[in-house]
Amino acid sequence: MSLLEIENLSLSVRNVRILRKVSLKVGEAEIAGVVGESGAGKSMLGKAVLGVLPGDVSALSGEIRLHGENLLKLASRQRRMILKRSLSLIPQDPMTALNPCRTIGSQVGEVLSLTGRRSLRADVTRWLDAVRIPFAARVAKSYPHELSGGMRQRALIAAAFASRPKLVIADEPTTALDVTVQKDVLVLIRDLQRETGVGLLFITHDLCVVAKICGSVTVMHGGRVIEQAPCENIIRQPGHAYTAALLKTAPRHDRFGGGLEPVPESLVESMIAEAESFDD
Amino acid sequence: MLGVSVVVFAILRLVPGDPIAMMLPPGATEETRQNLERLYGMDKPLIEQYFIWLRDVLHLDFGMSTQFRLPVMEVIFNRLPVTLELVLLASIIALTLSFALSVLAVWIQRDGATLIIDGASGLTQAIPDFLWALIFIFFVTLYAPSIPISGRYDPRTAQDFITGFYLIEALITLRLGTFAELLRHAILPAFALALPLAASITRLLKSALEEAMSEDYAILARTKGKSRIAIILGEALRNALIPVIALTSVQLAFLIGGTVLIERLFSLPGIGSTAITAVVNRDLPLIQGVVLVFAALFIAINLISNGLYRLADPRLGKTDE
Repeated sequence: MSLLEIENLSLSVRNVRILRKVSLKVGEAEIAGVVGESGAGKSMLGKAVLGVLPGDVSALSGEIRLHGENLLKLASRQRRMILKRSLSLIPQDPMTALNPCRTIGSQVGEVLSLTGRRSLRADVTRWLDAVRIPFAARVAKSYPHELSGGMRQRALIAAAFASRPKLVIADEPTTALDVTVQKDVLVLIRDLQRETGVGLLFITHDLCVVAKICGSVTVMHGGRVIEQAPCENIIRQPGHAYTAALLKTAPRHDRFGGGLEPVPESLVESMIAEAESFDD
Repeated sequence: MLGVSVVVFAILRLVPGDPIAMMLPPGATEETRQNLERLYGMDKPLIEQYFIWLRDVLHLDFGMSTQFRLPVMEVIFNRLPVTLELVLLASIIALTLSFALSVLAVWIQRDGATLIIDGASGLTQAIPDFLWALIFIFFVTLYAPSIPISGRYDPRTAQDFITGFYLIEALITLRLGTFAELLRHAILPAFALALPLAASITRLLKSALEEAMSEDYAILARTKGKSRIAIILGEALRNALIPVIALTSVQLAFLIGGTVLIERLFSLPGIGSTAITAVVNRDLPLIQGVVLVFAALFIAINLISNGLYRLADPRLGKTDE
């Protein structure tokens, strides 16, 4: 039994199909990547697992199992217990994901007290140290607007791991960051994952990122799973024309001045047609 | 303040009506009139009158009320506590009502409940405070005649207070019976003042809370397993407070203006009803004094709201060390 099993998850928001029979597994202590263009439904997949979908979801079917327990069947109180103890999120945008009116220390410490641990100033400082924030004791007393984007994201990562969850969902954690900081944050997340042994569902549009840290990859397009394979295989020999096209869109340092290739429109059109027929 | 003083002085001299004439008994001679004019300094040129008055005001001497034949300061200090207590009680009622209702509306999150609260607050806001006062007086006299509709206290019960703040004093000295009695008198005018204010705060606070609830940090709080009410109170409320402080300070200024009519309707001897009698009797020094007090109150409210603003929003707080 895997840590997280998503089976045939379909989802519509205001009668627009967002996810079409998505299946996905994340093993214990595994980093599973989900890649796709914007609008592929990958963020909604993460939100569905966390149960923070927007209010206007019109249809939801399939199963999301954590340790074999179907999250979609749980009452909200039990769901909240799961969220407190077993799941956490590293959000996309550190500029908006921290409450501007509360100190960093209180927002990280809150995770500790929510999970029934003591939340002493020393514990908070230790976690801020663990995500390599300099002057952790002072940062704990500052407000979000006093920190850079990279520091805020580190604080959010500290909060995500401090609850000692089973599964961390990282929703494009490096997208909003400066390129120079991206790599540090990526390495930090990977190191913390190794130390704590949590499962990590890593959502991104960046195949380079996936190649660096993920064990397996799920390629999504238009709410559908296009291809699922170990990371190595996907990079070396993509099994689907779309994956190959997606790989070509990535800038490569070994081919200077070659320009970037967009995904061919004809390919996208044929895939949309395929998706429509797939629904029936 | 200085600007206000010039404008008040000028306008009061421009409006028709002669304060001296108001003070004279019928059939007074021209000589008595000139004597009085000299006594009140009205025989001097306008500019000089203004500077004499300004100099006295700076020495906290607002002159004599031509109506009461008492120092303006004394009249104001006797009556200001009535108004301040009324305003305080009204703000407490308005803030309690609006915070409870808007948190409830955002918490319940049902279209029906939201519609009811929106509709009710819209309707409440549309009816001005003096109309609420008349509605209250009408229904209370019909259905609950035991609730008093005029005055500050029952003249039959003996009152001995050191300060003018009867309500606060009764509460602090734990004279609860007296406090309840005073409250019965104050509750209707306070509610009349509070309702429109409560309605406008509710509308703003509710939309600010709803907006905050859709922010990323509120969604992140959901993924931490916090309950909805905990997120509203712990995450959204403080952020929603910032626009509310701005609105409340502006509305509070209107509220103080509103006391003029409310005190008149409920026969409360506050600064507002004093303003009316002062105008009716062309009591120029008293009007000038009252207007300056109102101006000082507005400035005080602005200062307090600026302070609260900084407390609520850490981004405005300390300048960089």
